[in-house]
Amino acid sequence: MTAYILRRILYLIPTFFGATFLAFLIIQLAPGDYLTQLELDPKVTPETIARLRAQFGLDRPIYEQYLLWMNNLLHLNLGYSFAFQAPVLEVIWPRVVNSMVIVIPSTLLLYLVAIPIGVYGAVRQYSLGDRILSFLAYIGLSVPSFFLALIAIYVLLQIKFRTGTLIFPVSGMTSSGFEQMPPLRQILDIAWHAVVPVLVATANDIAGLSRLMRGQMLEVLGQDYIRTARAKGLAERVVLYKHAFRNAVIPFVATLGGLLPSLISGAGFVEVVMAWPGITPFFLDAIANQDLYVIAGFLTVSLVLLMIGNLISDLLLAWVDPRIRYE
Amino acid sequence: MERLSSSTARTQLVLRQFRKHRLAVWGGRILLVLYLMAAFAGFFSPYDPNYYELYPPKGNHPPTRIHFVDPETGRLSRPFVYATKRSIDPVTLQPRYEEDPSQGKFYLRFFVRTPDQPYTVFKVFRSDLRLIGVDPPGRIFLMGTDNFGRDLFSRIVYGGQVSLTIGILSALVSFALGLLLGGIAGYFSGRPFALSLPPRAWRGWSGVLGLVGLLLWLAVAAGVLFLAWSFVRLSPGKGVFSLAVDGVVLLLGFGGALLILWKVFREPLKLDPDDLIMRTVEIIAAIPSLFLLISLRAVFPTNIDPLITFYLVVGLLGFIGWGGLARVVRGIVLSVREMDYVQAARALGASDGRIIARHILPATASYVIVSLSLTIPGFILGESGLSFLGLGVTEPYTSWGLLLQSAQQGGFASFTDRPWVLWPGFFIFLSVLSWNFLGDGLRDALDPRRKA
Repeated sequence: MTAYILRRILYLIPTFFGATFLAFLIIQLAPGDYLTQLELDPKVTPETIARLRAQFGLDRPIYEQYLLWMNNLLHLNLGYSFAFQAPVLEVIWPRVVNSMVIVIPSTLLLYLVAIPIGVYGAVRQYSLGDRILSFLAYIGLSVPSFFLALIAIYVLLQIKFRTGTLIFPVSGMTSSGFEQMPPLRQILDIAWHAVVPVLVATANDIAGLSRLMRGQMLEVLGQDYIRTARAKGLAERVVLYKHAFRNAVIPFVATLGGLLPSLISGAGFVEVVMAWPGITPFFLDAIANQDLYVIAGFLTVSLVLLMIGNLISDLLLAWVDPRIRYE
Repeated sequence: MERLSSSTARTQLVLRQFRKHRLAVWGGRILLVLYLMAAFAGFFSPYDPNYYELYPPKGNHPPTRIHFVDPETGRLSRPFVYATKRSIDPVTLQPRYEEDPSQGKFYLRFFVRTPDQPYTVFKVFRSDLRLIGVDPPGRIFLMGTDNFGRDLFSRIVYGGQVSLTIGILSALVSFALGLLLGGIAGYFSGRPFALSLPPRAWRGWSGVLGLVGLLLWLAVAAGVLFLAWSFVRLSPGKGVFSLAVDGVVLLLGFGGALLILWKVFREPLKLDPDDLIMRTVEIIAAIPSLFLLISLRAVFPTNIDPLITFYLVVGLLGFIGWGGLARVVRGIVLSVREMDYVQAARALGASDGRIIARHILPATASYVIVSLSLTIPGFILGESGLSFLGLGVTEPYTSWGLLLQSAQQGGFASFTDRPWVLWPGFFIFLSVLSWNFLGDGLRDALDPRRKA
């Protein structure tokens, strides 16, 4: 087992360098750099630009920039944001935390809703409830998340025009006067703002997960040991939850490791449409500004988390399922 | 003869199974309508998508109300519309449109000709026949107009051309890549290619090739050394940790270069294409796909020719999507490769190309058809998302995502006052839903294991 883990880590090294270099190369391939926009400003002299470019290291060849950045990375230094004039980690971290306010509840909700739906669909296969639930799940799968967010905003604002009360806020993360609130009110305020984004972010993924659960459960229910359990006269509840469910849920353990990178990669379009100050709009801005080290640093962090997550998945799988052996 | 009858039986079996999935059949029907509308966009749209009137302006016109009851007699009549009168709201300064019965009734007519707005079908046939229309100066805006006064329904019909074809084209691109690379990875797994020739084996022409290869590898070794040296040269820190890191990197560089040299002179350097391709897939999968898509889009300038942008989006979406497919195809090919019939073909002396084309690819066919129909909706969503961010197709082309983007550009008021601008979203939803149902039905029909 130890040998397996060590070999896995060894394999990760070329992937890590390949992916970071790819990320670096993609950003550098884009025409111009962060200072190109500044060149258009008549108040900034060419000398200033040249000085800044040398200061940021943007006048060096790409491989030197990459090596320098990699050198700093080995010192756990992600670099410096041009646009914010601050270390990358300091700039990114608050945005990631904001995104987590949506991502963590939405992930919990996803599992809490999708797994029961899947189990129900397998136990009552082709029943009216199964059909309605899977139809609804497909609708969730097929709505673009930005469109769902737009619809939610429209409905909330229409309700406000009719009744005069705003049930949930439609944009941003905090109300005005947030700074003056006591801490408890602040938490409640953020939670109040997060309700709609969380629901919108969850809707897309329910279909995939519940279909997977349904398929797994159906497959397990067809096994011989389930028939044996029923033949022994066990209660249906025990057959379903003690024998079938526990085996059906094994593949989901493998998806747990994948949650690690998704924790920081944000909730996607919802953040853009609902003006949530998360990582997605921030990343879009960074790309528009060609804020090199912000992009590269963020991609690196999610890369490392992805690798750790995959490793955790494999280890968890070996732990829950004794049939799996790693040489 | 035998083979023919068995394959028709299978087709019938698949079709029968498919028809049982009623949602899939409906999905197929809706898609047929949507794609027909996109193919004959000129016929189905009442106006040219880029046509607007300068005077009187018709910007942000709500959907035209179609009357079925004649207000004078109170009886049912042929459907008709009224012309509208524009005024400016004194408070919000937004245009308001009111029906103006004084200009008379404009009856809805079918198969009308609009000589001032001709169109072409497939860029070949010229025509000006349209399915519905009213006589000017009456106007029929089924889904209202945008802020220029262009008919939104016509723009949606034309936007479908982009949104619906981009899904299929990107799926084809990613499938071409996925099948080719996944097939190579699976078929040649464990049969590495030699990338150099040791001097012992140089004879005639292979000697020339070997010499070139040797020189190339020497250059690579020198490059590795140079990178390691640059790393140390650029090293900013002078602490113990920094010196240790520099030392390790220098050591690694020397070790790598020596290893290459030693290998090149002693035995052929080998590379397993399986390793190379699967590592590449891993690297691409390691970067979050939305961010990778946007970063890649940023590599190309935004102000290039609209047609090139269209193909660029196709290429980018296809490039993002091939990894998962390559992984599955590799798995299928790896297992099929060991089947007795493939071994038999090889024993009979069949070439690699023939084995791949005649024996291995057909084994992946049903998987490919199913996953093709299940990835197309993902690409439609991808394109609409990219266009929604303003990074996708550009004017004069339009797509449903782009139409939605302009809908929300003016802030929340722009779609709460004018909800009809949300229509394009319903078309995205409808097409993605239909593709999902169709793919689901195909999977149930083609995969015999799933028969419950």
